[in-house]
Amino acid sequence: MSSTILRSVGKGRSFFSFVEDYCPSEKDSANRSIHRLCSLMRKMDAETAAIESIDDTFPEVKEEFAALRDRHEGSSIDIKAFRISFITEKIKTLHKVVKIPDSKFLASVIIINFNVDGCWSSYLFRAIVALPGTKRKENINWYWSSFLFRTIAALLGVKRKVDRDLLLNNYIHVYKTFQCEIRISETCVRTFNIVGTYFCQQNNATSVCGHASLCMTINNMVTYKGEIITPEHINRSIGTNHKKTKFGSGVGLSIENIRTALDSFGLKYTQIDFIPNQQFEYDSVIHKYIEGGYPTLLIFNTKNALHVVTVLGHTLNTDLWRPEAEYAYIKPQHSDDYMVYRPASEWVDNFIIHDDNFGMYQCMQVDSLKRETNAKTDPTFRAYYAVMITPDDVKTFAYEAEYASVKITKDLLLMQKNSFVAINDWLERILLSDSLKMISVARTMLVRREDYSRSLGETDFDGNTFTDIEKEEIINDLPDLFWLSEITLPDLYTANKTKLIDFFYPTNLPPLTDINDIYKRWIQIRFPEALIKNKENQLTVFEMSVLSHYPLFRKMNGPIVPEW
Amino acid sequence: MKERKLTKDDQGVNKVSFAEGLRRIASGGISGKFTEQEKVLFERAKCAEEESKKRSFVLGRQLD
Repeated sequence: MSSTILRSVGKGRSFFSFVEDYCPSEKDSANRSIHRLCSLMRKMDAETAAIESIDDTFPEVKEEFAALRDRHEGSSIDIKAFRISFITEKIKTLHKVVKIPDSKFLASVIIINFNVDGCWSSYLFRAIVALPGTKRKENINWYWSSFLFRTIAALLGVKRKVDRDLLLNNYIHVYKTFQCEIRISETCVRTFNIVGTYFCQQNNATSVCGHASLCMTINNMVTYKGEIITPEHINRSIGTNHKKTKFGSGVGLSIENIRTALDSFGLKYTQIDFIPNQQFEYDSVIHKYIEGGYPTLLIFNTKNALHVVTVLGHTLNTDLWRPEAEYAYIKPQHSDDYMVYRPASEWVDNFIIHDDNFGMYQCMQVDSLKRETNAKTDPTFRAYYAVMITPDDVKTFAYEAEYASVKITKDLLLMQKNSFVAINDWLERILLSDSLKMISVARTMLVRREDYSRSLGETDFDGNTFTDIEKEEIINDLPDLFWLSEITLPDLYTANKTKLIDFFYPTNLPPLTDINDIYKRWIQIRFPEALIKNKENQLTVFEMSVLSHYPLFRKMNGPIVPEW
Repeated sequence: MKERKLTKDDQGVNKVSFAEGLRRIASGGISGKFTEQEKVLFERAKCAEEESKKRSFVLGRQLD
């Protein structure tokens, strides 16, 4: 049974009072994730909340309620839950909810409160929250054309999925469209779609941060098409009995449990332990997966435990000083001038994460989890471990692919130069990048063949395009999944968002036993003017029409992120 | 590998196209040299993921 009411939440209405009304635990302890949700709703101009009281008859919460009762068997337990939908329109009567377009819905959340022996706990059991953005301003000069556009779109049945301008330089690579609903009456249900992400919190009784983070990782993957995974799905996959396993009372979820759950959902993953592998910067490793659209579980040390968050995207600051200046001012003694390059992650200033303790779409400064001290003597607040979800088994480590990309392309360019070959100005700049005091940039990511194929329809800086035959030649020997390293110059990367070279490397090869094997393993390299393929160590060359810098690889779907 | 500056004599030589240059390289194959430091880094990197699979730990404790 549900009863739905409407409540104004626009400016002048306190969200603090709002939270107190639906979270009885608020008097003892503020739930930061629920406050973060409200802060986002304020920023995104929420005007109305539709609130439903829900009980065991709601299929979404039935299993969760049962788990809480199992966990607290023998104690007195009371459970209250609410489903709340936030809308950008001022609405006074329920029947109007039926008529508003999907783009006006900002979030659909379920808050569960449970009282054990007189003490309330509250948590966000599930929150679908739209991609953050600001209300699109209607320019008066645009009014008629926009009115015309809207009329035609309405007649054609086309709906605008996102009615906001997304945030500048915020690249949320992992998100999808979720179907949500509001029960208007016993006979009327309004369903609507939100383009955004799934968020949930641990309840510290039947779930901990590992459950929450795993649910947030899986449910937000575009490639995951199954039903919404809940903490109870995870508990079933690892055989949890709540009467025996009391999560939250010093009992946590082990990394082995996480691996078992991922295996049971048929998901592939790769993992890295940062403590013994300090030669890898954690941000550089994670970025190579996120940039391709694959989420990561990032584990770090707190004062007295390990916590995990879900990484869904990143921000990019193309005005950063350090990537180039650091190398110029404190050039490392051991550096090989010839191999000077910066990974594209150097311009990433924040990862966009869901932290079940602090809420959704948080910007976690990359440097937060970096320490100059020794990890063994000062382990706190340091990237500890990462589990990257991948579309297939990825055996070849990203580090190898990126290093090979710079090494082999520079070797080839130098051989060309020493053989009196006409090298175009762009490639000359890559080759001489160190002596020109201009480092090269390598952007490495996991890419699917079909996505890469779609990216070949662009034009280079001079207006040249690939012919159909050239496109086929580029694509036809690529595996379904590969490491793509885009090599470019800092100014092209930060200002034009373009690249000069595409380097393709396999993902399914075991660790190298001989470093020289990188020269055998690469798949192909696309330079301006030419493509060189390495098929069973037979090299073949094809001329290409694209001669200049070419747009960076992007997946060709989804809303457009404003860039600077 | 160190780059070689072009001499005046070199400048007079007719250059071939980039694709043609790659074809000439293709017939001889590509190889390179590695510094000791590169070899050490690769040695460490090659087992990183295999070793990571052996790590065991427990997650989960809500902030106090």
